Parts: sequence; structure tokens; C-alpha cells
Amino acid sequence: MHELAIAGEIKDIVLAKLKEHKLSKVTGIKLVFGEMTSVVPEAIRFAFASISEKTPMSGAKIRIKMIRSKALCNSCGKNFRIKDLAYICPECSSADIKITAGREMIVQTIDME
Amino acid sequence: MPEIRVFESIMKRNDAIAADNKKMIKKTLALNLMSSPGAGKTSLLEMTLKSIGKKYRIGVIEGDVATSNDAERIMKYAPKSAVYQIKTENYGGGCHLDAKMVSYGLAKIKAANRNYDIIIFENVGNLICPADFSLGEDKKVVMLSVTEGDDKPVKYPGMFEAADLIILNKTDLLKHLNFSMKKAMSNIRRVNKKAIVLDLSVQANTGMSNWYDILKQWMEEKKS
Repeated sequence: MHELAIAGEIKDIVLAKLKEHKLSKVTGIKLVFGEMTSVVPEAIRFAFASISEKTPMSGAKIRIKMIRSKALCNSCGKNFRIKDLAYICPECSSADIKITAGREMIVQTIDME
Repeated sequence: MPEIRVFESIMKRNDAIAADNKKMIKKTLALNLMSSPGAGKTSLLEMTLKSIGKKYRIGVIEGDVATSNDAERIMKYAPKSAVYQIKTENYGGGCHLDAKMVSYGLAKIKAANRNYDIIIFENVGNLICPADFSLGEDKKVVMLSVTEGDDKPVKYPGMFEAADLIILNKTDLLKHLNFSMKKAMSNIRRVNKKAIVLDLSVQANTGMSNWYDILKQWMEEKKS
């Protein structure tokens, strides 16, 4: 249910950009979330639709891209995808890894008119 | 219809306030204490204040959806001015603390000029949402009580993966339960190879000295 809080942050970012570009309506928003965030895309859409009623964002189409989790092994340098909660290098079994993707929460683009 | 490229982190504002919180409390060790409801967070704080609250200056910011019950419990063992209750229902019914709520709490307990040794943010009981909101803490402490089941770490990987310390509480009840410490440990290690893991029972007051030792070590690290 923290999607409501996240939708609120998105709303503020989008409204600020709308003002900055001196436009009046938002028709689409592209968001990117990493799969390690606990965000549920449908809940984001629902929360956003409800808080954007009677705003210039009302009816905007929300597109959501989910990013897979990836990590870099600090021991052998291998880049790998984190599958099945295995936070361990598949090459050398090292646990000394740096997560490089999967925690994103980004407003990527906004369609305005 | 222009497409505006933004590439802005949705958490940017929260993270900026979290960074300000951290800057403001300087040498104070700040902990974000998280767990599901009823795991024993408030009891841990009560016992901690009872045991080492005279030796160290400890501040507590309580987060709950409603009621001041937790702050009232804590105030029995700490100066009232060092405890503040955030009711997240006043901030849109939040299921977690966010950096802004904590900044308000920090101002209320005068964190900037009271030289606390430790400030603990007791988050809303929830294993999902609090993981996404940084508060300005130095360390994340996740508590799991053995009555909850040994598979929780893999059911809520986002929470356990980011923990610096994982406390297994209520171990005095193990004899009545099917909870396997071995399975719990292997589930924790699937998602988090580095966290310190402590088992203790707040109610039975066993294993607590390990917790105090870690607090002491972290305080020293923060002050140095």
C-alpha cells in the first residue's frame, strides 16, 4: 500500500516538469522499477489514477517497465543476473557482490501537451 | 505532443531528506528498526532502555499507523523529551516511516543539539513497505520472531537483503514451535550473506548482551 506514497512522489515530479515546460496536460508517463523494489505495478496504476483525478494528469497512460536484478562480483568481476534469490556469484561462488540493477524507481519520460 | 525525458528518481526527495537527517544527527548512531507487527520491536527497546538507558543517551522515534501506545510504553524508561510518536495516519495513512516524518521527529526530540549516543527509528510493523524508504539511518536492523516461521527471509527478500543486523527474537518459545533455526539461517543466507545474525529472547532476557555489544561497537565506529 506504499504505492500511494510512491504515486504521490511521481505526481509531484510530473507537476513540477509540467510547470517547467509551461504545458497544460500530461497524457502519458513512463516509469521504471527494479524487481527488488516491493512495488506492484497494478497498485501504482490504481493509486496514480485515484490521486490524479481532477489534475492535469487525469487519464494519463502509465507505462511501467520492470528491470531485472543484476550484480557485479567483487572477487572475479563477473556481471550476472540475480535469479531465484541467489545473491552469490555463479562463477566463483563469492558472496562479495555489488548489486548494480534492481532497485530503480525512476520517472523516465512524460508525454505532455 | 512532446515527450519530456526526465530520468528522475522517484525517491529523490525522500533520499535528500534522509541525507539531511543523517547530516543533522552528526555523531549519533541512527538505527532503522523494522519487523512485522508483534515481533517484539517495542519490547526490545524497553529492555534496552532499562539495561543501558542510564549509560547512554538514547532517543526513540516511534512509527505507528495509529495510537501513541508505543511511545507511552517507551516513556516509562526514557525521558519524555527523548521520545516522539509519529502517527502515520496523519500523513495519509502510511504503512511505513519516511524521511520527512523522521525529520519532524528528530526536531521534536531536539536531535541536532542533544548529542544522543543512539537514536532508534522504530518503523511501522510491516515487512514490505519500509524497505523502500531510507530515513537517514546508519544501520538497518530487522527483527524476526520465531513464531512467524523460518521462511520469512525468502518471502520478504527486499527487507532481509538490506539488513545489517537480523535479530531472531522469542527463542524461548522454540520448544513449542516447528521453527527450525537451521532453516531460518539458511534462508537468511540465501538473501543476505553479510548481516550479523543474533538470536535472543527479550522476554526471557537471554542473549541480550550480544545486542548491547553490537550497539557499543557501532556507536564507537560512528564516533571515530
